[in-house]
Amino acid sequence: MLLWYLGRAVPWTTLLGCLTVGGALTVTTHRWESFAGLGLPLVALVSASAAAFLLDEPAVAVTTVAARGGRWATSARLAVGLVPLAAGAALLLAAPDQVRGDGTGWVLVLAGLLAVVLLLTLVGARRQVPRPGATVASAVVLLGMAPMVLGMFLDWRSPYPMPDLSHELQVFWTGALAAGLLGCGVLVLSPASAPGARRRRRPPLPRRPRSSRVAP
Amino acid sequence: MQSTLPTTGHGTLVAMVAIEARRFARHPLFLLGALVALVLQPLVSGVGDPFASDVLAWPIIPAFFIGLPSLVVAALLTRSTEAASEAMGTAPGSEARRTLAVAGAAVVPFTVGLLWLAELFAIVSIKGVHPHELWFGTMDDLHVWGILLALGPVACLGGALLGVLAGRWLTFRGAPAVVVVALVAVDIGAQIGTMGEDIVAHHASGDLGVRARLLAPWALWHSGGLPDGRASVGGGDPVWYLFYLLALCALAVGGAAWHDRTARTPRLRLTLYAVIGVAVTFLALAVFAGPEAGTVSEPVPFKVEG
Repeated sequence: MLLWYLGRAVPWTTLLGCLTVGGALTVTTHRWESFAGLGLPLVALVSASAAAFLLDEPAVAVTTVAARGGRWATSARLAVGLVPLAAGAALLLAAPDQVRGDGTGWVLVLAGLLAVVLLLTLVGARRQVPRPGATVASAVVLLGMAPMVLGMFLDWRSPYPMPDLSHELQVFWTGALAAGLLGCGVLVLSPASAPGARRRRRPPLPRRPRSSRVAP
Repeated sequence: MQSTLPTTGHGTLVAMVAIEARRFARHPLFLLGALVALVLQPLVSGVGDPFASDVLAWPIIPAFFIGLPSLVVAALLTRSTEAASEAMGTAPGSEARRTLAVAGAAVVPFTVGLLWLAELFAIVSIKGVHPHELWFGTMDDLHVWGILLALGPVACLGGALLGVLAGRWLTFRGAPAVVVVALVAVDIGAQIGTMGEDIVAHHASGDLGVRARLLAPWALWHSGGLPDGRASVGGGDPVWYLFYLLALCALAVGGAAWHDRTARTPRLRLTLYAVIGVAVTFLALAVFAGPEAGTVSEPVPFKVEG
């Protein structure tokens, strides 16, 4: 039942398409190592953004009231996040040794990004956005590249391993991972966990008709 | 498919452009990017420095923070106009007119790009530039204008139009993010042979490979400040490069409109061929008609490290 559901509910083509782009970027870093400074962050970003499409559901209003319940469906979809995590980690570790360091830093960055992506997507899904994936994925890619652009002008250090993570950055990415996972856990376990189960205000009570004044 | 609006007529198109422009201007991703670009520009212009420096490298700010979000927003808006036609078989106007409406809304990021340019000139007029800075006076005025317009406002316009093209032709859900990644990879990839630590020597060499970087839709012209206080601008003609980018913008609109089978008239086909020819000509002029060797500045004293 679980595999049947995931086979139909998860947009595998989109997910694998993002990972294919990541694979092409990894190959490029082998051909031009000077590209790795930009290429490896892009691999991490595009792999993490693949997870943004896991909760896309065009018929959100219908599936919210499915028999298995929203919590089961959401949890099952979120678990597929392990696929882009594993594939993205494999792509990052396949980069040339001299540009990726020992690789643990990149895996931590990928896990942190992925947890944040899942949290943002889950927030969108809970607000009954049918397809939050495209917006979340694009926003994460743009935000993830912004520090590299600003670093050209400001004395900012890159948040990505070059080739290893500093202690401060390890704390930062571990914090992002923990916050993302914690947020996802809270949202899934909270009562309104089904995508689209936005709390609605209780309809106002009917007003009491004004009593017409009657002259004594 | 039925249309809820006439498929011809100037008035309805203007109305559709106005609607799409409002949707564009209100999109949170665009608003955030535009705000960040306009707020960050004074900060990246060297707050503690006595002069504004590396000014011709600044256009990366609007290109990234306005142009790329505009690409995403335009792609999402283009796809969103299809929701009604896919669901109900009806939509406002023909597909080509809806495409033109979103393309017309690209005037919004272009206008914000012009605002950014005005901000740049305000900052430069307040802080001034060092006499050795690569700017008006040390470079051909037209070349300075060409670099600023091509890499700033026109990049904002081009990002949105590329988004329309992507939204029309790439129907998978992750298309905007993938196009952003691909565009950045192509732009930076085109500069690979021309960058590195000895970028000034590359620019000064007049090597054809340096000028071939202009094939990219956002080519780096300025080297950025180097530790020895010098900076350089690569070879090639920025004015022809500006026209090349405008031709690419026109090609993006035509290519997006071409997606509508009913719009594939001999006239549109001929126009697209003509635009392709013009783009190739402008690119060739940018690469071969401009100065072969780049311009290298004298060291700017306050930029010398150590």
